[in-house]
Amino acid sequence: MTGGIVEVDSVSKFYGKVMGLNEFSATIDKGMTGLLGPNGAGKSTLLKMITGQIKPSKGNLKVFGMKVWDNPGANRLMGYCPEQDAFFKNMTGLQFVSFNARMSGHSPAEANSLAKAAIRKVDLLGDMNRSIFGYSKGMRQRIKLAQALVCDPDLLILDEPLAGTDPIGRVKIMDLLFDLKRSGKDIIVSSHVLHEIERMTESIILVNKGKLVAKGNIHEIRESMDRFPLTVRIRSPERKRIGKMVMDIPGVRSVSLGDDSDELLIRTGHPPTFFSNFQDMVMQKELQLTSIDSPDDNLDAIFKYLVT
Amino acid sequence: MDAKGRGYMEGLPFRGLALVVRTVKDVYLTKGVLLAIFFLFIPPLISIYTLTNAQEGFKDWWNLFSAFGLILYLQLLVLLYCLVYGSSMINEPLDSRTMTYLTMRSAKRFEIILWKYIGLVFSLQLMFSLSIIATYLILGSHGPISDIRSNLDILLILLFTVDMGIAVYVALFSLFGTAFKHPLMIGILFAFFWEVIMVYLEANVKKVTMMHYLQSIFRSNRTISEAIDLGDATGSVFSTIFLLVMIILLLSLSMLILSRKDVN
Repeated sequence: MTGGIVEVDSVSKFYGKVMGLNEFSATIDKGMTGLLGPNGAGKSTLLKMITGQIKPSKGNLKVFGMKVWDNPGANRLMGYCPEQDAFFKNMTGLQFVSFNARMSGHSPAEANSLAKAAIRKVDLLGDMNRSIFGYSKGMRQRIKLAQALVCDPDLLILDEPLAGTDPIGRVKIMDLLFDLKRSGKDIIVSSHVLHEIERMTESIILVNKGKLVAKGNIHEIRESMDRFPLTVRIRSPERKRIGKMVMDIPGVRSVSLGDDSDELLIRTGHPPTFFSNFQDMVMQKELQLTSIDSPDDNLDAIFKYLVT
Repeated sequence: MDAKGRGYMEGLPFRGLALVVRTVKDVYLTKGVLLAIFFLFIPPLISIYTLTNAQEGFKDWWNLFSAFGLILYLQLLVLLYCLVYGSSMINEPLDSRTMTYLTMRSAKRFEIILWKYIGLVFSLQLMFSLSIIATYLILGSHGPISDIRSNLDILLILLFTVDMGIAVYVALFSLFGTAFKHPLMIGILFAFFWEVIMVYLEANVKKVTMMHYLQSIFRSNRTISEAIDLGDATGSVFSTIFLLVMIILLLSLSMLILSRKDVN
């Protein structure tokens, strides 16, 4: 298991009798990786191990080929944005980010300059001299992101960075992450906002009950599941006629009318057969279609399918 | 300038100073500091009250100062303040989860203990010094100015003893705060049932308390034996060395525990 920026080898973590991670092995490659799983799945435990906050009970973990536990050398290459809203008392946004830079060994002047540059990236310059405790949830997320960015890390580890942000803040953070990705940064991002993660990540890691459920590109994962049931949504003024016709296609499990007056929902156990037959049907019968898509073709559906 | 920061050794003074200053600010820039200062200025207030209510001028005010030093400062306020601040030195950042930021940077975990300890001990010593000097000057104002000058050694010994007390008890209670999730109760039991009561027991029993060695240092003050009978004392040089060794041991234990502790 070599070549990844993060190598997790048979790592387990026990909290008394509770298992946080169970023989977890994965290699995280360069680029942006999404870490997904329900609450208590072990995502944060894994991220805290990668950042050296928690020591594995068993197994090995390396980042850029280095052990991470109490290793300043590895810390220099990482920036971590924790999930929890934890801040030092009596600090402005600028002081918070600057203090983190000073803890990396910068002089006060250098730290101030780096902090302002990082705060500019998260678009909080106008509020940097206000107390963090007066910030909105979204602003607090962005200032945490700024402290993660302040020392120009090679690897950014973001635990639920979009949690609590408003739509505009969310777009800003996502745009920033895209920029960072384009500039060659490696990013690991965990979230349960699946449709947003889906827009951001090239590859995903699905975790449940402390175990690796699946890893890879979303489409690769989908392709690997031959019998993954898919819901197809068709919009057509002829939905009842189409509904009767598709019942004869092999693999179709159910057909139902949707909430909208032109919506038809079809559940198939074998998507390739369905699409092949349906395409012929549309051509031969000259069916009128407004649109065809799949509400299941996203991480949310795959995730639910995989972990239940 | 490499944005990732200086090398480990090169960056050491910068992050050390940052964490020391942060710790001092944590002590002084909170609402709780007003209460802390109020309690510390009870001895000067008592001094004022004593002077204004004395029917006749009382002689040997330095004996009263020594008694204040032993009872109010050493056995009560030093223990209380070190318990409150020392037990939260590492426990609070662990509890509030700000420890994550400290352990994610270039500092090794033992450094976090060291810098925070220096910052906290300095903050408390400054607070106590001001209070002790104020008490000394208020009591000394009762007599001629020459008495203030000639009894300066008593003041200096008390300042030294209190500084040693702060150094050793902060090390002890910060160890409790690093090792236990709820260190305050254990600290209260230790401070007021072990340190204060055991020190008045006979012979060798008292030597298992740190208060005994602090009292022994303070006993080198020429007036204390006139004020309070402390029984057998250990030599002040030995006591100082013993307490310094204890500080190193206690801090090393805290560092060892934090270097193995998960930060959740």
